[in-house]
Amino acid sequence: MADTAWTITSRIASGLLLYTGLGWLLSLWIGHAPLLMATGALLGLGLSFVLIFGGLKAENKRISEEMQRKSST
Amino acid sequence: MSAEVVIASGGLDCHLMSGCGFPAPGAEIFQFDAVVTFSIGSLEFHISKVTIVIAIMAVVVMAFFTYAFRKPKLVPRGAQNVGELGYTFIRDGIARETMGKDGDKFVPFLFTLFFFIWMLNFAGIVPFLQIPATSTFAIPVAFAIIVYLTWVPLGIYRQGFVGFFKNMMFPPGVPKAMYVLLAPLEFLSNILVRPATHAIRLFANMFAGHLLIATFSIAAFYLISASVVGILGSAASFVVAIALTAFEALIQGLQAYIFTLLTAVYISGALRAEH
Repeated sequence: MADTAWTITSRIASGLLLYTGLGWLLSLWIGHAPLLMATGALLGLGLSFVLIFGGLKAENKRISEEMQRKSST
Repeated sequence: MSAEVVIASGGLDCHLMSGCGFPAPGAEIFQFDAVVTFSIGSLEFHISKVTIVIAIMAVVVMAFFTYAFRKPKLVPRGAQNVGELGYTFIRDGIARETMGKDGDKFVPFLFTLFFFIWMLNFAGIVPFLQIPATSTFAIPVAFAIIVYLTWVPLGIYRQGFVGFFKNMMFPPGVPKAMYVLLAPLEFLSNILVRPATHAIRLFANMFAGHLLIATFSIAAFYLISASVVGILGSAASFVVAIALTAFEALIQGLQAYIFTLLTAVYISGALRAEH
């Protein structure tokens, strides 16, 4: 897809935003803001990488299947 | 370099040897005072240079394509040839490339979007206009909102309310157990971050490009003085400003293309579930 590069950017951005934000929200309740926000940022980054690589794997599979179908006909 | 840039950056007397530092341009070169102010009811309208540029470019786009297709001939010549080239480019290069035959319905939308944005960008290197209207953040935001209000309702209409959000939030290729953590992330990425980056990308490119041209134009002007460094520096800055203008001409078309292409990709994703 043409927007692969921008999907990666927006996934990283939203991963960081969401889980750092959740860490901060949690810290309002139980304290330890720096620790929870850092953990949240790392978790968010990790999760966005899972999404990105999963998406690329699925896309790669789809493209190679498409090419196989084209070459067989 | 336009007169207001010179004045905004320290006046006509500001040169290398006159003791004032380099008047680097800032955000003020994107801010224009209202030329006309009027109000209809409780709504106040401030007509500034950017508003005028947008109006001029809207008229230019409309006038050109009305002229090009006023008496269409089977064998196109002149303006009609250019118009058809543009139409074919949008239809084959963007719409059909991303959506296949379904894309034909969206060609008018993409066509308008591409040429209007291109012309708004192009205003950045037109003498006397010299401001890309898209470097005012409100303008790309308005375009991004129009696009957003196109593909979200379209996706809900085509895939159903549940289906649209299900396809959006549960992408294939990741372990099922992780969806609890990944679904909100993907939701945020598609619903909030996507339109934001769509607008920021166009805005930031045009903003940075205009700022670069202004910096080197001001440098060429500022460095003029009776010294070797001054003359050489001024000449070099002038050449760079010209080269950057040519480069900007390329970037303007490219950014309009990217904006339109991404619009097509978003619409295509709304038409059918991805992958």
